[in-house]
Amino acid sequence: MTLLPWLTATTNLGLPVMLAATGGLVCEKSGTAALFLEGTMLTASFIAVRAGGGFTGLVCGLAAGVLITGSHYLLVHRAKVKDVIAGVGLNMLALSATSFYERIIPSAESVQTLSTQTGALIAATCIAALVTGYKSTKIRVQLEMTGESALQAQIFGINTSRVRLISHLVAGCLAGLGGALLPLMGIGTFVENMTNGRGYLALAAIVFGRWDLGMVIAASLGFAALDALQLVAAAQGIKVDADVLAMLPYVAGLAALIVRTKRNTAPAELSKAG
Amino acid sequence: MKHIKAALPISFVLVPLLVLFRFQPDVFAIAFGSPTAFLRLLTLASPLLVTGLAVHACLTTGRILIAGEGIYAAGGITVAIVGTTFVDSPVGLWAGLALAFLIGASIGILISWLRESKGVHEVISGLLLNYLLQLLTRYLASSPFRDQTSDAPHTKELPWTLPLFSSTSDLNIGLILGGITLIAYVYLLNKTLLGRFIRSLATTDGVALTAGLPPKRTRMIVMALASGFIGLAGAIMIGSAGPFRRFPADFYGSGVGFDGLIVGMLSGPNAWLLAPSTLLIAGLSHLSDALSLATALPRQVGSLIGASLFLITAIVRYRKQPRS
Repeated sequence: MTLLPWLTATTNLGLPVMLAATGGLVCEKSGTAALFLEGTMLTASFIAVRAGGGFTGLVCGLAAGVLITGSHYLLVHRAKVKDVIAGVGLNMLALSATSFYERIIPSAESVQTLSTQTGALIAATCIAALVTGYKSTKIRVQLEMTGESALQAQIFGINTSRVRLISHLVAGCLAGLGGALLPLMGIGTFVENMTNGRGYLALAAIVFGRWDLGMVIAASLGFAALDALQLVAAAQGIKVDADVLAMLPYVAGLAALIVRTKRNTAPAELSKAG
Repeated sequence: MKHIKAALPISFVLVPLLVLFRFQPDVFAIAFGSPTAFLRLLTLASPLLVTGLAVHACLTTGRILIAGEGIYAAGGITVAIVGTTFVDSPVGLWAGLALAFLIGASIGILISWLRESKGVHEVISGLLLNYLLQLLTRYLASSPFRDQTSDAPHTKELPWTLPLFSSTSDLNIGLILGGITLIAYVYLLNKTLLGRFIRSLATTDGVALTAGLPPKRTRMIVMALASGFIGLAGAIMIGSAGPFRRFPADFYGSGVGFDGLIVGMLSGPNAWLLAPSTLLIAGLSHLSDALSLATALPRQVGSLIGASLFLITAIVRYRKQPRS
């Protein structure tokens, strides 16, 4: 097996997961469980293809991501629904709605795609912007204090509602971009349940990466490298059952959760939300 | 206010149904207009009652069992493998059922252990397990245990099967399992002290601790039993003389696990409501099948309504407790 196709496939599959995981990390840092990643990515993939792909598709996918996470914010922080339940509900709605509309009007067989280099450039720009923003002491303190104790953050004059809204919108942008890049850097069309659990792998990367940006990115790319094996094996005629190779990222995700040390590094508000 | 809360999710389903009845009465005739159709509805409802009950039991202890879909498939493939391996004796089938329960319970213990010991949310681990079990069951049915004489990917036909209620329907003993478990569950929750302590776990650990009931261990036991019963329901569906008798590679995705989640949530604190909730969701699924036959609408309309119902129920019932 040659290395270059594997690296290309890892980049194509890894960038969406990495963007979604970093977006989810921002949201979790503010104390809200980012269970919505799967549904956000799926909706963004669907919208990006429906918008004709290319940069238009990318922007529309991003907007769809913001719409989903904005809805999650309203459900959790306005209607006071438990964050995990709201996330699961939005994921179920995204899956059933995209499948329903796909059955009525199937997506175009091929839309304008983006090259791996373009996708990598977009992802690198987003991550650089995120790291720059996070280096700002004011932003980091506001985000982490809200995630540790919203009540105490309010005592210090932090507008926790605004912090959480912004973190949801950032998560929507990043997960939306990730979702849109999935078809645009890949097969160029939408298929039902296209994300196939990659949003949950992004969540596993957050947990395994112990809510540390660098570790989360590394974990996302690690899962994607395993995910890419099935594509490369099929392309190079290696005779291993596709289902067995497809299991690898999920096995790794579960193993990562099992070997995770007991030391709890999660934002305290996440544990309270339960 | 309490009654409005209970009525809102139900009215969300009933209003479109009434509109549908006004404009497409034929769909209702196809779905519910004959004894055969009604028996088919009960067949659909049997595993759903068990999964709904399992979800409800876990919700009672403050946990969400979302891996039902994968556990149901795991139970099914277990009975198919064991049943076709020990072909000479009907004991193979019963051993398969027992093993399906144990495998389901083991998955529940893993999810619960990750939550209680490692702090990993059961929804994340449960959903990862769902994807893993989907791929694993598909692989087993289409490669090592595949019936080589058939073009379609499925396991070999079971030599022994569980009986059906009648020759004209596929209604199996899953209905008895669901019914007996529901009665026992309602009795445990409402009439025993243990049940009341278990119910207190949804909001606080303190009450159970005072009574000497370890909260973490209790939650693990409840999730193990709940998952075991889902595995058993999957095994009964495959092991009964009916449409299956063999495990098809695409068995995962029947919707029983996710519909069970809606049933469990819809019932709220009253366990008796599990029965009507099950009939409602099974009816909805049955109706969407009939609708896709009668009109051009895809059958996904049922899951779309189900997902919306889940969110409405969440808004009405599953709200964060105000902090003191």
